[in-house]
Amino acid sequence: MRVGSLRAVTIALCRQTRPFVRTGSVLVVALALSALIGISPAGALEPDAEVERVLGLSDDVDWGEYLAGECVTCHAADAATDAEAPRIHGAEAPYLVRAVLDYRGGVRTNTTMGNVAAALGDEEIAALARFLSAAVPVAVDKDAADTDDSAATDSDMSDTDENASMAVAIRPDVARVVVPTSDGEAVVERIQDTANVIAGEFARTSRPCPPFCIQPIRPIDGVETIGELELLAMLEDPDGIVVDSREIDWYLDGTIPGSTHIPYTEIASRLDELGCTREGDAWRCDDAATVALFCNGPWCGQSPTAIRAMVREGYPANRIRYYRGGMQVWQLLGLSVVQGDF
Amino acid sequence: MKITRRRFTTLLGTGAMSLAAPPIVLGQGTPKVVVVGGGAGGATVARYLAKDAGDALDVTLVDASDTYTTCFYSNLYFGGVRDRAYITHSWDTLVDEYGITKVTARATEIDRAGRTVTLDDGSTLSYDRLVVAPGIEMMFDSVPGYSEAAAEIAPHAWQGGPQTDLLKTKIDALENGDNVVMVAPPNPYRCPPGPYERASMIAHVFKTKGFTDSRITILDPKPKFSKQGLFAEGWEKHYPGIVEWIPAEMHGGVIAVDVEAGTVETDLDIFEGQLLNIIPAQQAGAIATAAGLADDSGFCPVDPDSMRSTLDENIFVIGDASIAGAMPKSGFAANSQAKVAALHVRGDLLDARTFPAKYANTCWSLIDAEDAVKVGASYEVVDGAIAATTSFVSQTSETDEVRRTTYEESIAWYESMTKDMFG
Repeated sequence: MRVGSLRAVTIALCRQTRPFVRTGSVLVVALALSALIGISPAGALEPDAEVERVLGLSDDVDWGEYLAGECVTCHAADAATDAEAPRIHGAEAPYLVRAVLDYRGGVRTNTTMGNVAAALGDEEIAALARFLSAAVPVAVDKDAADTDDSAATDSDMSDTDENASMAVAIRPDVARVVVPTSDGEAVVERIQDTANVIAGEFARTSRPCPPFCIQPIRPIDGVETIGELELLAMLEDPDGIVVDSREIDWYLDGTIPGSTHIPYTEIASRLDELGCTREGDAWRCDDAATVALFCNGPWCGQSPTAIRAMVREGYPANRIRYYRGGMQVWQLLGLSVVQGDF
Repeated sequence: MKITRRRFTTLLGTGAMSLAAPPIVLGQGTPKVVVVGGGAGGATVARYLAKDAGDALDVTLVDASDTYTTCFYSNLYFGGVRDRAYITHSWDTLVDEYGITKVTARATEIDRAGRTVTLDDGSTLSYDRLVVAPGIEMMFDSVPGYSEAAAEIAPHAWQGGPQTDLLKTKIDALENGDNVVMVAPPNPYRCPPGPYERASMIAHVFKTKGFTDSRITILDPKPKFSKQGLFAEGWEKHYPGIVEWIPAEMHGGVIAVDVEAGTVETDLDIFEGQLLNIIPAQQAGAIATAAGLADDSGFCPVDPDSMRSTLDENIFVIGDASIAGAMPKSGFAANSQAKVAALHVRGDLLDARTFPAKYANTCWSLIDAEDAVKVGASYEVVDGAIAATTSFVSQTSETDEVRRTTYEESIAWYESMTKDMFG
């Protein structure tokens, strides 16, 4: 029962990707990934007219399948997502087109992919993306399958195939986002195991309230509450600041890549780090940055408290964003987490 | 099977040769494809035919071995970077899951008029289309004093299998102070950077074992070699003073090899080695030559758009045995050519769509454990020949990080590549 084993293999692969990894190792991965994956210079979260144009040039899946013969010698259909040649089967077509265009244009610089892309015309890119985005894995790691009989009873074939092939994207046309951090670039992506469930601290439903009470959608008038896509756009933006406002232990345990740690208890006295200047006893915040704050989620009062303190100190409310979902929703969506550092 | 327009044209175009041959019995049975050779070209073409045609084609793969040892990455085995199992593969998945018939025998003769292949067990296989992918044949006498028998003492190890094991055993038996003398082959030959990667991997063994007194001498009939600057830099960096490369203009040519004495005599000097690794000149695998598919070069001319033999339109020749324009002889190239051939075999027999041929190749070479370099190109048919349209090569002075990434990329390739061959 090779098919039944497919899920086990996929899950095994995904479990190797620990939810928490040291910032250092994330950066190693990030550097490798950014060389291969990269992100459009315009910003991954902007609409991509060029991609739409190219995708419109061909829907010839048969041609794409022939052309993909070159891809599969490095990108096996069941490649581990953290391999040096990442999985491309089942990836979203716009993402694939953007990637090839960026390699062809030199925005992304892996020499092998640069060469491959240089030999591809726009129509070929479209045909390839059409085929690959519709493709499912054709093979499974033989050794792993042979040694894992426990999954042989899993006979839900279509579901299994889909689990193995589905790329869990951030948005249909965005698989990953590269964010600048103090140590270089980090990649934010989602856990690819579609059977994954949240466990541990963030699986809890019933923390005592008080003190862990449901927060209002807006902590104070004038502050905009945002979700993950808006937060990712801020993380990508070199001028945007995303503040993890939790106590240090939480931060060290795991935070959003590219965030800055300022605990809610200290933020009122550290507004200089956000572009304000001290004038006597008061802050002058004319040049204050646009800043997003988060804490542990909708039940966490730390960032709302911090936001109210900031506004009280003179920080313009319209330059503050509140990511209410926090670490809870971030992890519920399987988004990348790194350990904080001192 | 219906006679399609393409097929009808093909038959007309066959001319006298076709008239002499027994006609294909159209409409009866499943078209038969026989693939001779189960390596990077043969296994790939068999798998792609079975994958894309399903039951519509009867695919038989002929290879004399039970298991397949990839010649590519065998240098990593010699260097202790990968184990024997890593480079050992089987055709079992192709048989069990793709419905390919594997015949373990050596093809000895091709009756092109009767469209049959004779095997060394006396049996014959008939075909509608034949794919010949036998790899290379060693021209032992290209090196004076070398022979097939001598290769049992001084292995070439330029074909995966028993020679691989023999060379590994001999490398492992070396002691500090023992020297290795390699004789590199003249162009064209399988895996252009291979001899120099091999020298690197043997030097890596010396370094790992702390052998400071052992040396590797490469006697080359060529004035230069693939990725020369990268290797020279790598040898200086990782193994200073260990690897010496001597071109023909310096040694004047190999006069005699004495494998018993462990000597290679040249105009320059008599080189002594406790291990001689003699890699002679090469030509297309014996079956291709025997079938009259090779030309004076010793390799097989093919139509660059399809990899179809220019000497027999029912036969495709792929991989090292073929003359594939600007493409080097490599596993990657054979795999790439196999996909073009598979497309055209299906086009011939099943009227499948064909597309303009695109080919690719990358040769990765490992200089030290995680220091890999690469050279590659994309190819298309330009003015009737396979020509490189874009290419790239690693640069000298790259960072360790770039080289490590290249190494990991090469491993990703090997593992995906062997899946592409064997399923």
